[in-house]
Amino acid sequence: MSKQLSILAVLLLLTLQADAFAGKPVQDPYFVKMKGFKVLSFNTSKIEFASTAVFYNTYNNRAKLQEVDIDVYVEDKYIGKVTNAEDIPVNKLSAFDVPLLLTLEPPGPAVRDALWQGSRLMYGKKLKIRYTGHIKLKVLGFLPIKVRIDDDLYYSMYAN
Amino acid sequence: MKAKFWAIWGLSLILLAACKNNESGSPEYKDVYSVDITGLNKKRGQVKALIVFKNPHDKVNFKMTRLITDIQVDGEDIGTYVSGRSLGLNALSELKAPLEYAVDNERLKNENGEYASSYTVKLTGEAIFTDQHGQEYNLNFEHKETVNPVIPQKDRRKLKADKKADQQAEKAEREEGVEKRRKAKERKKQEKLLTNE
Repeated sequence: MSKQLSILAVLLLLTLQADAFAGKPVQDPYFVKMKGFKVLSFNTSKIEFASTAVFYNTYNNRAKLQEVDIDVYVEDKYIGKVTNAEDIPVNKLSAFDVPLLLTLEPPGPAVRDALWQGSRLMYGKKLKIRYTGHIKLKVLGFLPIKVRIDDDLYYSMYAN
Repeated sequence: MKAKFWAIWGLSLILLAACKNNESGSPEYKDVYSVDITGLNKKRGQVKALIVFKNPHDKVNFKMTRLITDIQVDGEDIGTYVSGRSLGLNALSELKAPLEYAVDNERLKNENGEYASSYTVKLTGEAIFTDQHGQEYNLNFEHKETVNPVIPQKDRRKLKADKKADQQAEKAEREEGVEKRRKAKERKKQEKLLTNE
């Protein structure tokens, strides 16, 4: 009985290996681009930025967005972290949008910095906004996959 | 004799120009065909289109490595389509890159939960081609088109009923206007008569 089981295990292992080597290696999901940057509110009591990050799911399986951990920098100065993980359908072999909302409510040094940089917008200055961090997807219900994001976008009051 | 010489010269020039090989050129965006929204009777529909590129080069084949297209329906961002597979674009030929993007049908309905009879679809995208040496060519394109999707029968009936009601209301308004104008004319006539008397 144990001999039969071991033969079965060997056969299963061989099958899995054959599967792994048969097709070309599957690329991990990747970040595509940032889009739709908007300033929702901008005053001394509250600053709110919204944008959308586009990712591509390279897997032939559906996934679930588990975690968002993205730092936001304005002109290379850290202003806050985006952590809102919404329930977004991530279909197989397709792109998906992750809305990123950054709200800075209590006035602090970060907000003051952002306000100072924002005031430069009035003079037609372009602001460099950097998003860096990762999102985590749950594939097959249990497998966590980290997708890195590191992108700059330039926002101008007049060009947008 | 001179005229004959110039005629032959001109003809040979035309022939030469026609036979000249097109050895330069990079992929070009041509057009977007078959834009449509399908599957409105299901939970999720699809925005479909064929994005056409052409290769004017007569010797070099290109490969489309990436196609990223932002989709807007009636001014609202629906999503971004990313083509995960690479497609070949042979010399002196065209490539029809298919775009199929699943969309939640609730996003296409208005505040009353009804479909519109037409939608304006805007596609803004970027295609990246590479040649055999690995040189990249970026092509940007934009296309806007109004489509009339096939609307499910129950929604179609509703749309028809709404259209009829609108038409009736317009007719009633028009008739009311005519009546008002007639009455105003009569009043003016009577006033004139009174002033004459």
